[in-house]
Amino acid sequence: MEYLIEGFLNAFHLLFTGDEETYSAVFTTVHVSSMSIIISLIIGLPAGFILGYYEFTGKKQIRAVVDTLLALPTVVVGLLVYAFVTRKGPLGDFNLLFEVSGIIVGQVLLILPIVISLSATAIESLDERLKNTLITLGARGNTIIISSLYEARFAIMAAAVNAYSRAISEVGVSMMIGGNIKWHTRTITTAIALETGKGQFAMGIALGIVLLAIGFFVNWVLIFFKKRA
Amino acid sequence: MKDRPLYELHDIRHSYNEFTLRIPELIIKKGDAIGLAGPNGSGKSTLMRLLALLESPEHGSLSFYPSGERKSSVTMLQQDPYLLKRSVFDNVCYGLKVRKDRKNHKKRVSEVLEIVNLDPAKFMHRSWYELSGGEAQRVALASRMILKPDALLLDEPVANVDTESSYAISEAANRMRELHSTTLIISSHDISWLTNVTDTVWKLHNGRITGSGNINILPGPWEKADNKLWAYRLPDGAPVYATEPPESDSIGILHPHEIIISDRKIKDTSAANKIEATIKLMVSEEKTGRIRIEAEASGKILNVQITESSAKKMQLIPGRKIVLIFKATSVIWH
Amino acid sequence: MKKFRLLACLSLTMIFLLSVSIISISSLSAEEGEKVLKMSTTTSTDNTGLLDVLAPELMKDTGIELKWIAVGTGKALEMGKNCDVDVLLVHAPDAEKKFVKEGFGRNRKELMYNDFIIIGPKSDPAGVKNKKVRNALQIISKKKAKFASRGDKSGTHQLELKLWKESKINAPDKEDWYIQTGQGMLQTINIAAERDAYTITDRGTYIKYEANMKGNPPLVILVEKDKALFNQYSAIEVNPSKCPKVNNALAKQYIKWMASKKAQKMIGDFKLMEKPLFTPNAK
Repeated sequence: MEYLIEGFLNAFHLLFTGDEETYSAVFTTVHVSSMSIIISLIIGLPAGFILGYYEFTGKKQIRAVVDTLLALPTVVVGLLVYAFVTRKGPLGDFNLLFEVSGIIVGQVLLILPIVISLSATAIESLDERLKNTLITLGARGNTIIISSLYEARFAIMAAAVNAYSRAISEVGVSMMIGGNIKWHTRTITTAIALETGKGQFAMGIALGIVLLAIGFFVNWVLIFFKKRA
Repeated sequence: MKDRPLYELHDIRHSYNEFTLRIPELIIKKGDAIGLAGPNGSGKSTLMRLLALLESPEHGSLSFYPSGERKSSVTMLQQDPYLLKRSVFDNVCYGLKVRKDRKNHKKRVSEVLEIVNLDPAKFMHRSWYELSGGEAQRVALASRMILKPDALLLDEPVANVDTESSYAISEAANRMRELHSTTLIISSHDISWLTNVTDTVWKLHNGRITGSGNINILPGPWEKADNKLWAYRLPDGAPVYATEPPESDSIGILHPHEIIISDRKIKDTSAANKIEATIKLMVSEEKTGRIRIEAEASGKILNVQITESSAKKMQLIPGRKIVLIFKATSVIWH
Repeated sequence: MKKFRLLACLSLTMIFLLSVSIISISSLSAEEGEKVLKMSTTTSTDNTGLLDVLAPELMKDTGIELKWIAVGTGKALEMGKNCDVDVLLVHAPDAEKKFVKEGFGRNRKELMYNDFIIIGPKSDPAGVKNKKVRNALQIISKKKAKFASRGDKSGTHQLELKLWKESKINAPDKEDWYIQTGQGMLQTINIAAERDAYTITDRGTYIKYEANMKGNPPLVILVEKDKALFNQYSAIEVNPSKCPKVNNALAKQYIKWMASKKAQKMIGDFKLMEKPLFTPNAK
């Protein structure tokens, strides 16, 4: 018990004195996951919209594939991306391995299915009376699409928040592609996973506290959006 | 140009569910208030959708001659309407924003909310989930009325709505007609309410317009009877006699003014039909100065009419037993 | 009011994400110009903290930024084979010599050594204190005393296996008393402590462990200073003929610096928890 309490006290000390190593990990995590979510939203929202709004051959199959990719373990994604970005792999020349950019690529692959699938569901969940209502009020063409997207805004934002949570808390990709290099690719999760084992218990707790705090905030936002949807 | 009707329909055929809507000809003029009555499946909603330009007829021509831009000249309020996930204010002025009509939104929204009897101060900033069913319906109506359409279509506007809201809706529809000569096309299965709000009520049955006013529909089947006439059995067995129908399942139409009401069986009449009935409902129609009677005859409700003075003379009241007398030739074929 | 809160939330999030992207774009361009050397090393090396002390000096003297990835020895060598790093710093001489022989590395340079020790419960149930290492292992095997192994192909693990062999004991692999953790040194020590087991560890990790336990650890040093427990650290250039894209020039510079008088002195002076750890031996 004493061990735990001491760990917590040291953790708070690290956080309040702005310990460089701790905050470097926090910053890397925030940086990486934010870039991942931005890229995923840019690619995933339009894709999810098309998947949810239009009818076309193969739609069901594509949806099934996307939904399956939702549950990919992070280490599997990490392994796959590693095989591609290692020097001997097809993307070896792009200098992605052990770099933040590599982690971002891996995380995008990880959370893209979430964004696509959940935003497609958001569009599909739109009331079937919506389109007629918009038309009868005078909307046409692009206006209908934009207004439909706006109507689905809460569910879409919930999808984004969901994806962000996954990116922030994943270890597999960050570890395998990032390599946990101090100051460079050490994220909150890789630090907790690897550094704690090396005896940096206080830093592990400190980082855990930060991760929990981010997680609480993100989920509070999620609840707010879900209610409205 | 001014003499052009608002809608001209020719030779329309359009399928819905398992039926086909068939309308050889229909003309609706500006400023008309038309009611469409009929049971579920009669094609009311389908006809409304065609008139609202939400669908194009599979066959035939539907011409719409609005005074302004085509796309904002007709608007429909569906049954159980959908409100956008926004405030009342944003819902009501959505149509204006789409038109890029940006002036005076606050004032115009307040005005139209008052027409549907919703206090702007209380309702303007409410969110979509803070309204009762009737209030939501009125907001939906307001969002369409603000567009000052040439044609306002209401599909079963009072089906699921409280009395206060149903009153507010009919008042609002009438105001639109008074203020802007809006053409009203309203569908409902509540004929009484419909006759009060509209000038003409057309009845639909199995996809066809069977006539206007409070006609009686005798759908068949028709069997040959012994007296060289054809009979249609009412639910409780009494026969209605008519001349030979074109087909055994033709629809027979009996206008109320063809039926004579008697308080006792008259023996010396050549009329083939003398049916006993009980008066169920008596409504005075201000527009015609007559009394419309719904009488239950052998299990079916028939519409009859009589002058006020005759009703007084015969001392007709609901519950009274009467005899309905009409000729076999009064039944015309659709 | 509610609309206001939603707008505030959204705008804060947007500003946050935007500033993050701006920072990341600018940091991307910053990285381009520097001299970056990628090195794979072992977790136990990283644990000592030696690299944290040497890296800033390396930067000062040569301008090279050292980025090292700490993994098990097996993985470290693998990364060299895959051309994912420019230089290796490991301590598994047999595996290293094979690595060079097979052409994956060249110019292996011995830099320093520290030693391994056998630790076990204070009560020393098997009675191996102060014995020679081969003798101790034979006793442990005979008495079936619990023994924790790294089991991860690391330098430590390979040394341990070598010692079993030299003690004429068959690989204990499937024995009940032999616990293969598959994890890093500190974790393995923790597990050994939990199970009251013996284990082999490098002195550096033990010093850290002792400090974590506030000088009163459940596992103590029982066997040490046997020549067989020698732990030689070497640096190897990843062979540019097999890996044309590696930064061989920087790798050479790094190794030269590590063997220099200054670095060697720093290595010798390095103290972990006020205890010396390494003996520099670059020729």
